[in-house]
Amino acid sequence: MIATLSASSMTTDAAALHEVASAEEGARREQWNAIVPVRTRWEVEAIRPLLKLTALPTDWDGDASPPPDPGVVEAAIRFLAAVAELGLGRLPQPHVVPLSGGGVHFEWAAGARQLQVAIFPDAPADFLRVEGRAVVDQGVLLLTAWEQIRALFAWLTPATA
Amino acid sequence: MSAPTTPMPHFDSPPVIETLLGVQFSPLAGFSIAHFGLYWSRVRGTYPVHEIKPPLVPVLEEEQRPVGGPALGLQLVSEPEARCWLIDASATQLVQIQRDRFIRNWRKVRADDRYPRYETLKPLFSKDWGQFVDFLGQEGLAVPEINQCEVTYINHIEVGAGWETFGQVDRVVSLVTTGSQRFLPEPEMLTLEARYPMPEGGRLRVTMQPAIRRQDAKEVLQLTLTARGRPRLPELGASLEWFDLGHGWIVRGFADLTTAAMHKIWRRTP
Repeated sequence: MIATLSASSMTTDAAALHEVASAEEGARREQWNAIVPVRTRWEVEAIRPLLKLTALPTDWDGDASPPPDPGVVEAAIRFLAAVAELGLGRLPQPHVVPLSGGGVHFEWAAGARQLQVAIFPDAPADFLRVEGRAVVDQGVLLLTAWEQIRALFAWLTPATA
Repeated sequence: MSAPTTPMPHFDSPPVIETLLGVQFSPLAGFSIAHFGLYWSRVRGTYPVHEIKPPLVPVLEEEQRPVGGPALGLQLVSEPEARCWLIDASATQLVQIQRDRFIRNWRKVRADDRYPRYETLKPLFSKDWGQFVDFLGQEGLAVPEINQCEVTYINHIEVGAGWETFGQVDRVVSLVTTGSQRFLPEPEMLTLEARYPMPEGGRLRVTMQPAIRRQDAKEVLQLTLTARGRPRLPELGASLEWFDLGHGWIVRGFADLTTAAMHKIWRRTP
């Protein structure tokens, strides 16, 4: 006997992980024309530039780099959704830039504090916290480590935590 | 208000980007993974591309009890369940089959793709379904007994066409009102989920979701209308009747739920 566990409904799409996670009837349907659902304005300002990066040509950096890896983009979308799910309030708009080798880099700035997150195709994601010109700390970031993510963003914007 | 008594509106330029006509039936005894390939070999000329997807779990829209809760199901089966997508060369037409489903989708791919209209899509469903049933017969499998029909329309209402921010949902949806006389400011975001019982049986479900479209990174309000219910009889003719009913509810419901200003943009008549 084989047990299969699946999400429901009758329409289509390959990249529906985010929709499934929302567990709402409309959002969970697997849709052929793909979207990224958003709940906050800052998500819009993060996801739009992220998706636009996928149109970068190979060698965009003059060093033969490909555009961001599709797996990196999906991981980044899930990460942003997880941050939005934390309900920390209004986060600043992040700067989103491609990394050589197919990664992406996010940078949030709030006052003197900066939080940088980099997601790579072939290595663990990492973070860097900066206050003023001093590095506070840096390390590996597990993109599903909710408490670590919450702590990082709570540090960035303490008024909204 | 019963749907058939309300005039059917028409939109010359509707924002629909995907449609679905589908039926669910009792799982076909004897239908195995091998039949996906056998069936594809019959229709490969029309649908040259295939993809394998996880199966959909059964959904039954009961008269009194709405389908609710998480859409997760646990099935014990004797071999792996799967769903097969068969896609045409234009990438706009899709047939989905699994042991208890037959679904046909149309989607907009290019900016200049025009919605082909229900009157075109319904006969295409009939044709593909007929081929599928013929195939089952040739393989010695039973004719499916349809227990559920679904019609779904997915609309993408793009930013800049009648609204500018996700808070301006009241410009799109007539259910929502905002204004300077109200205590609450314009919302940052608003999602909508509504369920309407259909007196004829079944249910119309409506969701609205702010989203970014992956294809072009554009902000859209995704308005999805799904009509689902049991046909009068478990066969094609009654299912086509149910599609007509579901389509009518979707078009009239869409007109009811959206504002006159948007209807001008979508060129509504009458």
